[in-house]
Amino acid sequence: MENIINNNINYPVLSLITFLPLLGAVFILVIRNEVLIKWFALSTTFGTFIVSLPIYKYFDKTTHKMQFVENYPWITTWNINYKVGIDGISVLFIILVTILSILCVTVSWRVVQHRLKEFFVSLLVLETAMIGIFISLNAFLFYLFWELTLIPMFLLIGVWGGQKRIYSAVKFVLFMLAGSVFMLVAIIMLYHVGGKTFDILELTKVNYPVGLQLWLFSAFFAAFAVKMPMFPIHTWLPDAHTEAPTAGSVILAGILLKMGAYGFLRFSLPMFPLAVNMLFIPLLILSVTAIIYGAYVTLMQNDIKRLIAYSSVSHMGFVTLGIFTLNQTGIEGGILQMINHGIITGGLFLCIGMIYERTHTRMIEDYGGLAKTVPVYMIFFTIFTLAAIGFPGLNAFVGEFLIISGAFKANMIIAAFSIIGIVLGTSYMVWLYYRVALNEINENTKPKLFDLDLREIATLMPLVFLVFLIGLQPEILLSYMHVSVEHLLEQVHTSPIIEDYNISDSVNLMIQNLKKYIIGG
Amino acid sequence: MKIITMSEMFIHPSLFFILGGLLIPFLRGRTKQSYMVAMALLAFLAVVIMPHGTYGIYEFLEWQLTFGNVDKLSKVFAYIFCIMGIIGIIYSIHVKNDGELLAAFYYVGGALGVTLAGDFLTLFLFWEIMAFSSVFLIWYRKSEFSVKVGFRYLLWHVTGGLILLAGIIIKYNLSGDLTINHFPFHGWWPTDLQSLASFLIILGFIINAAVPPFGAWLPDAYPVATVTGAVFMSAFTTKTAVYALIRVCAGSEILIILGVVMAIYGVVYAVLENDARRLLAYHIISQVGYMVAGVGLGTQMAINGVVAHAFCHILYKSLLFMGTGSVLYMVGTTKLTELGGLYKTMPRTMIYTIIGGLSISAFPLFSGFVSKSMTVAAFGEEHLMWAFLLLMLASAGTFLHTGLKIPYFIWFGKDRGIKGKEPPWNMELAMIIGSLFCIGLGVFYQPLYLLLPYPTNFKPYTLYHISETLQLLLFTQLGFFFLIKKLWCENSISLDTDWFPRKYAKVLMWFANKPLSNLEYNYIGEVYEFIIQKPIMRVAYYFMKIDTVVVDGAINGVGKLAMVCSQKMQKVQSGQIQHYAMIMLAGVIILIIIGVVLP
Amino acid sequence: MSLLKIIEVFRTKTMKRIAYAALILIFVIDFFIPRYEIHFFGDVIPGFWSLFGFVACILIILISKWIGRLGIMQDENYYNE
Repeated sequence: MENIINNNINYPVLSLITFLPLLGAVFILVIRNEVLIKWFALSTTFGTFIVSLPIYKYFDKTTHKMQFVENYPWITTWNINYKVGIDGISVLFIILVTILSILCVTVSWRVVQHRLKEFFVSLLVLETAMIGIFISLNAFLFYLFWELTLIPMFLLIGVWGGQKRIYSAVKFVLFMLAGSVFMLVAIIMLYHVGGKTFDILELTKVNYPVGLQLWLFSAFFAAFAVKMPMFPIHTWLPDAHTEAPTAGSVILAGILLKMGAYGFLRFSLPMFPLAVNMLFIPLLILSVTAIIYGAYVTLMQNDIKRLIAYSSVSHMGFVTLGIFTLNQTGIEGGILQMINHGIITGGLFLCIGMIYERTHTRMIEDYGGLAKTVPVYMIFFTIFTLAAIGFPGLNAFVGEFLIISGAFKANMIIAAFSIIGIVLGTSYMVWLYYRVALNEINENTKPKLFDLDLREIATLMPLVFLVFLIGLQPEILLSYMHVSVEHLLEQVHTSPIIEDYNISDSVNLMIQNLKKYIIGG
Repeated sequence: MKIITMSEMFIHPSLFFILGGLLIPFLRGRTKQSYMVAMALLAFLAVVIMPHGTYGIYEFLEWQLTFGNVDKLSKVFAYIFCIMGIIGIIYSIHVKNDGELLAAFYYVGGALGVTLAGDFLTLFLFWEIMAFSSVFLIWYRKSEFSVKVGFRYLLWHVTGGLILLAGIIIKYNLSGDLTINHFPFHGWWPTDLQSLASFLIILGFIINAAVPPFGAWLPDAYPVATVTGAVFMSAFTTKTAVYALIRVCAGSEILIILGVVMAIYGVVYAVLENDARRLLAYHIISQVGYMVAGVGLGTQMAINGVVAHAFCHILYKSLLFMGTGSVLYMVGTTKLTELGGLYKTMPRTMIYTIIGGLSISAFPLFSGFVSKSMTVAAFGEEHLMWAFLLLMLASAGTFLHTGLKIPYFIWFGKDRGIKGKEPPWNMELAMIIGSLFCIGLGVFYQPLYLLLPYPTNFKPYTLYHISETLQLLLFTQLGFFFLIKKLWCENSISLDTDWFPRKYAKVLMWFANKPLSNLEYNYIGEVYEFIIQKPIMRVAYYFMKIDTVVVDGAINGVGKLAMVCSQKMQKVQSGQIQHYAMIMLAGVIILIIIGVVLP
Repeated sequence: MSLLKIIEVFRTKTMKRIAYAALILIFVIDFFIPRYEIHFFGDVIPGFWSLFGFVACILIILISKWIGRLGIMQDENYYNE
């Protein structure tokens, strides 16, 4: 295994991070006392966060190879091993998951009224599954964790959600399953074609024929595009986000959406470089469409949560734009923007959740003049709004700058269109801000509004801190990515073209026969 | 951040506004007022002691940010911005709304940041700060008008900023360098990547400088701003854009035409205007046109003229806005159709406004005379006579409006019996300071000339020059009184170049509302319904039918059969022993037959 | 107010006569002023700028009003927002 290096950590740190939440969930199952459950969940997520810190201390930024690798044989007949590891692309997501999970626990402190135990169990199982996705180095393991996220998410939306929760939850699951079915078929095909192994690193080394690459890319694309979500299969997103409880929305927007993009980076780009290069322009166009379409529809929303949900479509469009530029700046911008989006949108959903707790309405018309009634809350909301706009000095600006830089290198016209997306983005956020914060105070909701308490401030502070930190010192995050992204790009740009033997030949033959039949008689 | 160089004598004046502003919401009354003025004074002192050089360099990712690029050009602009800051703050200290004060502070801080920026990224940062803070100066007016206008204003500026950013990114991609350097745009249209970058950058600056056809936001927004907000806005956004143009685009020939057109454009629209502040806003466009044209010309005298003009313009334009703002504050309207005869009740305000008007018209002994004429003379030097004459024409127009029309219709004209009052002491003090500057600079112009970037040997007070100016202005006055009937105002607005987006913004929004939402909800959203939910439910329905009708039916059927048989069987069981015995006997006989006979 | 009295002084008929006299004076003085930098013909002709100012003023007013009549001037509620 020459793709991995040894680090100074002697214990299986990645498995620890992954399964600690699961362990906590198991313990919670036997606890009766509600308060104890909440504190236990909090300590578990906090513990996971602490345990994930050594990774960043010992991470070697000079290599692209996998680090902290653990490899245990599992089902050996089919070469399915429990193999996990991280590199510069995946390392940042782990801390995003751990931080957001803590905040999900704290924000749900008072909200959950019934079935408290099951709620926190779902949350913790979800955390395990999410971390598992980012660290899996075995395709089968990856698929396992991928599907595993569906169940707790379904429960979170379906049991503790809003009015249309069952409908949204079912829609969510069906969309996801439909996409991942294709991915499963593709993974199995990879197993056969790639040398009877599910190991991701091994599979990446194989040069697949062009036609096959296109098919496999499309299959994986189905799964990742639904997850991101890309236009036009994004329609599950508004329903799921809106009906989910606050913690659900934060996790959904903050992490689950990123899984799709991560999939592109881990699977599609390294394994199917020819396909990616061929589909370069259409993918860019699709991304820009998502940006502009998402932003446009956002303008029309009257429900705050739905508005932020649709804005995620637009933001993830930026991420895919960055990724598919296939240059260093663009991809780094895309990855950074994923982290930024998780922080910003997570923060916005937390804000909305807190205000919803008080007024039980999400309609914009029910709000107004919040700047006067809840000034502390307004400070946080303003910071997140400015961050979402891409105000210089805050985190999203760096991501957007890098992405647009990369896009200009790739294709100028498409980049120009993406700038329209930023203008629209500014419009809807400023408009939302105006109607909510500055307008006339709405008398209906005024009595119910009281300012943030300490717990809520503590929930929002870490994100605000990160907004400024990344905005002023993005190198802290970017330094992890440089080498791995370079390596990825090497794989994408320098791959030999192998003539396809199976598919395109047979397709050619088919076409020739058809021609003979129709013309020749 | 790695700090490379920091000099002890360099304190960025923006800090006093940006950081100092944060304390404002926590202070009250006289403390707050003195604090605000003190901050502005400290900023001014910081500019005074700033030595030339480059300071405040920070490393950010792979770029180098320079916050303090001090040379003659940036210093003179920094001076005037600070002075304007002081005057503006004095004018506004009565404002109760902390948000408005904060917005003004950030606005001034942003302008100083742009002036002293040494690289494009820093410039962009402060550019955005200016846009976002100034929009609040419009919103805080709190009329239903101001909301929409504020949004339009913000969208114009954000778009302009993004165009600028696009240009910066392309330039960076080409040259790998973000430092602000001379990067003029030649020709009329971008021909290659390099010129595209300079085109986008100049376009971004032009939008902020309110050059037609992109300048419609200015007359749209400035009259609707708050009384004190407009004073600030008249000074900063356009002048920082002019500074940026001087720094980056000096010598771009296209600016000459744009500037001259601008100068006349503003004057033409001003004739038709009814609202005094909107008239002044169009005048800003006219005056900035002089500056833009001068930048386009690019000679040393022209640049000197532009800088001097900007310096004096800030002072007298703000004086005019302060005067009309006082009228608005005390009387409630600035519509010329509703004013008149105010000289009886607000004579001192009238004097200050007239001083402003005489300055802007370049009357001898006033500041405009020593500054504006420099720019125009530069055109004369280069023998670009068409520009020279047109600019002189515009000067006549300037006097017509600001020197004659406004004072006449507000303070003289038809007396409608409006009772005005002199404005509060702070507003009057600010106006006095402004007037002193206007007259002072007109008489003692040497200090100003020393501040200019290039050595000056322009002598404004030549007999010829005085005569030329006096002739021009006084005979314009003659024409004014001749045609005064024609100039009576009507209650109307003038359509500007933003007609298309405004009229058809509704179309845009309708598009988002109807067709797009239709598409989203009824088609794309419904795909899930059509493809998945309905078919699945239908198939499920059929399977259910199979389940209930067929399978269950079968089982039920078997059960029913069993029931029927057993019922029939029941009949057989009569309960009488002889029947049972007979059947038993019959059964045994049959069994014997089967058992013995058959095998 | 003493200031008002001063302003009232300016509005009297006498002042109007003095103003007209000043106009004529300025026009005449131009004949005697030495010229320095001559850039074009207008610099040489005495009284050029008087004519220029007067004509310019008239032109601006007339042309602007004409353009306004063409369609730029609209009712206040044109955009009807």
